[in-house]
Amino acid sequence: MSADLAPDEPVVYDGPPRRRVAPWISLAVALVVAGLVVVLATGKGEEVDAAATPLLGRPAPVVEGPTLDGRTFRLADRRGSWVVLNFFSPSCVPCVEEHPELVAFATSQARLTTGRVELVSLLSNFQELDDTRRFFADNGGSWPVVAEPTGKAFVDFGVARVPETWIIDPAGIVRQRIISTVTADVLLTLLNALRSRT
Amino acid sequence: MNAALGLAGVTLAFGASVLGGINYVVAARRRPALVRAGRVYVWLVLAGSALSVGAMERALITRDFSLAYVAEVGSSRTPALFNVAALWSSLEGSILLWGLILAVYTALVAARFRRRADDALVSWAMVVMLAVCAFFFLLMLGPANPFRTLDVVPADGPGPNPLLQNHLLMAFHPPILYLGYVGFTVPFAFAIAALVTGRVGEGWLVETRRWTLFAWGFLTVGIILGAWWAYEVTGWGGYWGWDPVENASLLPWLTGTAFIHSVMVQERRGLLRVWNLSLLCATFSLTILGTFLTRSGVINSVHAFAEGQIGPWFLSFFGVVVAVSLGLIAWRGDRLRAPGTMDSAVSREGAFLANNVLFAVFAFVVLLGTVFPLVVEALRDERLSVGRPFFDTMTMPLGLAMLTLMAIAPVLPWRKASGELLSQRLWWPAWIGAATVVTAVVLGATGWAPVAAFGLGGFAAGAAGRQLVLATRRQGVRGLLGRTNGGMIVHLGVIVIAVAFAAAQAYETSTELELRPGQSGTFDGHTVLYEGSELVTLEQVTELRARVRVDGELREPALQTFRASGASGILKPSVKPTLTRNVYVTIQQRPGADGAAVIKVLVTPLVSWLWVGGGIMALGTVLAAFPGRRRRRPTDPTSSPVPDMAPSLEQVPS
Repeated sequence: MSADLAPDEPVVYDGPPRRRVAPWISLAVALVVAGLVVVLATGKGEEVDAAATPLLGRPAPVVEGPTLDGRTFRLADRRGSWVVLNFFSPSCVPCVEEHPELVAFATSQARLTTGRVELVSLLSNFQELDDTRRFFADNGGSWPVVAEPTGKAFVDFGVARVPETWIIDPAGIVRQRIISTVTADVLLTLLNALRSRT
Repeated sequence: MNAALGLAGVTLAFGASVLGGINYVVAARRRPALVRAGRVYVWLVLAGSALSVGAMERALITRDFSLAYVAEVGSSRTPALFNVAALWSSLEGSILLWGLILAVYTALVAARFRRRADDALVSWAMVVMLAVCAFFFLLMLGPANPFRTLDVVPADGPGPNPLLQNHLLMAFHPPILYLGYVGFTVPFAFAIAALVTGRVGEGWLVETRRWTLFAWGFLTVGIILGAWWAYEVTGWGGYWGWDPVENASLLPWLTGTAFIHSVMVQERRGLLRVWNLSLLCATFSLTILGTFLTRSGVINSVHAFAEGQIGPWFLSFFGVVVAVSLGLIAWRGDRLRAPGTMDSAVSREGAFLANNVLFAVFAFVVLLGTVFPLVVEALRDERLSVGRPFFDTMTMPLGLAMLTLMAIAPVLPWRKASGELLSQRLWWPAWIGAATVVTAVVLGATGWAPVAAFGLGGFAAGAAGRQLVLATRRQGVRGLLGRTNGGMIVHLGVIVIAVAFAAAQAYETSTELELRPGQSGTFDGHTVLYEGSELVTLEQVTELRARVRVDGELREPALQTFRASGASGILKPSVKPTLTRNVYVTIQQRPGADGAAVIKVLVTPLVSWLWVGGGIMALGTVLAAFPGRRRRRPTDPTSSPVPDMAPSLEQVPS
């Protein structure tokens, strides 16, 4: 190598002897990064494709069950209006985060005189009945919450993890599946898009 | 034809990268004479990638739908500009663009250092550059082949994603961002070369500093343009949402910024050498990791390209880059460590160290927030999202600490500062900060965090201004040039952005008004009158265009439907930027049966300052790239090194 590379001044150190630290620091960083790579490599990834369900464009499965306020909800009774089904649990953090958006959505719909979209939540765990009541009392929201002990709807729709939001059109056809959280804006935009396509 | 040309180009570039890389390895180890041949390979790489991009552009412009990529993003109705820009509107094309920019950088490095090309260090840097080239061209031959052809040729395509074709910034934001990302390959190559050869002299890092500055400047402008685009186009009125893709661009920016600062310590005092190399390796690794995150579909994002096959390739490449970097640092690190130590924490170098700690922590927080959901999912099989609140709470104190440091650091001398000197130099900046607080409170600012941001911003602006005033008094207009003065102008830009961010975050208000035609409402002192809406049919878009008067001024927000792709319900906002506050209007839903429309009004103070600050940063970066005064190039050969180097290494306090 060229000896005339002037600026590379020789490394001269005359202080007290220093321990070798670079290998240890490198090793530590390497372990952390290796862990990260493993996580990234094995990560299932979120199903970005919101439309990935065989039910799309087909009649929605039956949803029927008691609501929190003691009435009975039947999806079939809601023919003629757009229905947004929100699969949730009060103990799931993203669901809790999503809740204010749903409240905003419900509020925006309540103001409409025609073409109102109905929002319905489905509780994933029947054990959490009391928690759900408390949750709605604390955080607002007066739309129907279906709490059905068998969780049949979750199986029929293929919802394994909450939250998920589905949009059903006035003919009872599944038009959209959204995995993970939604915002009021996203829902409104999607509904507009879907409506203009019918 | 286009496919054949393009594939030929990619194959040529890949072959030349591999052979050129091998050639340079041999040249570096035994046969410096091979360097000349190495340059030929570099030109071949450039020619190959230019050919492939040319072929793709030709296919896009002539609408050759036999190419799968053109059928995916092209359309006969897309206007010419967006047809050219369609190159980078999806995965394969953007990798093509990446390859071209990388080839250009490689050629520039070869040309710039041609006189020193027989130096082993330059040869190793070329090896690294060409190895990175080889990876990207291999991608194009394998999983991200842009030149796949279709058996059944469609008559027309859907055009690019609608959001990517209704704003001029689409033509500029991605290429500029890529110039930034890819540019970091150059300093990374030199860092690896320095580790391989074991020469971490100041000279080479000073040379690469300007390349880093170049890449950094483009990355900065790219990020700001992205924020502007998001604000103008996406219809939610946001400019920064801590989206994984935004974070992916911020991460290398943070480590790159840390490097630009701490390399000055190495230059002046010879300290922090291994740290600086590590920062360069981290910056490059983070650009690759960011690309992985955005292209693999592993993270849900508004930007995600959602194509699965390419993920493992990027992840493996990331692993290799990190392993090589860490291996070299572990092997060489201790020998390369600086001989000296810091004299005092209250000194310029101490401040730079503090700056680096802050930037490193900032980068860690952003990285953590970005990958945390995946980690949790891996450990507990549970989905979790890390949203705005996490990032806002975590980064706010870091931002305030950075502003404080920006105020104090520029007045600190090297080596050691006395309290007396400090209080004397900080006198005016402190007053300016105090005056800013008073002004802000008089104007109605509330809440401690934004007020603190304004005050510290004023304080920091005072310190930057002090340096600029002193320099221009001494040197006239030339006092604005050079790294220190240009850097202070960049600081002013950063402060403007910080103030804008604080104000926009804290004082943004919004509402939704449901208005019938002719009806008006008021919000936050603004009158909003809805006059009605009409369906407008343009060449490729059908718009439901609302006529809204905000304080008497006509605005036309719209809901768009793109005919080619069938995408509908795209919100097109209307915003008239002013320096004080922007009123942003969107129509949320098509009017119901009674004609009532839902108009969303978003009032954001100072948000335009973000773009102004970005402009100031760009200006400052350009000024900083000019040498303040002509100095000898640090790597120029010299026959008597020691006396010549003495003044620049042994620094007297300024």
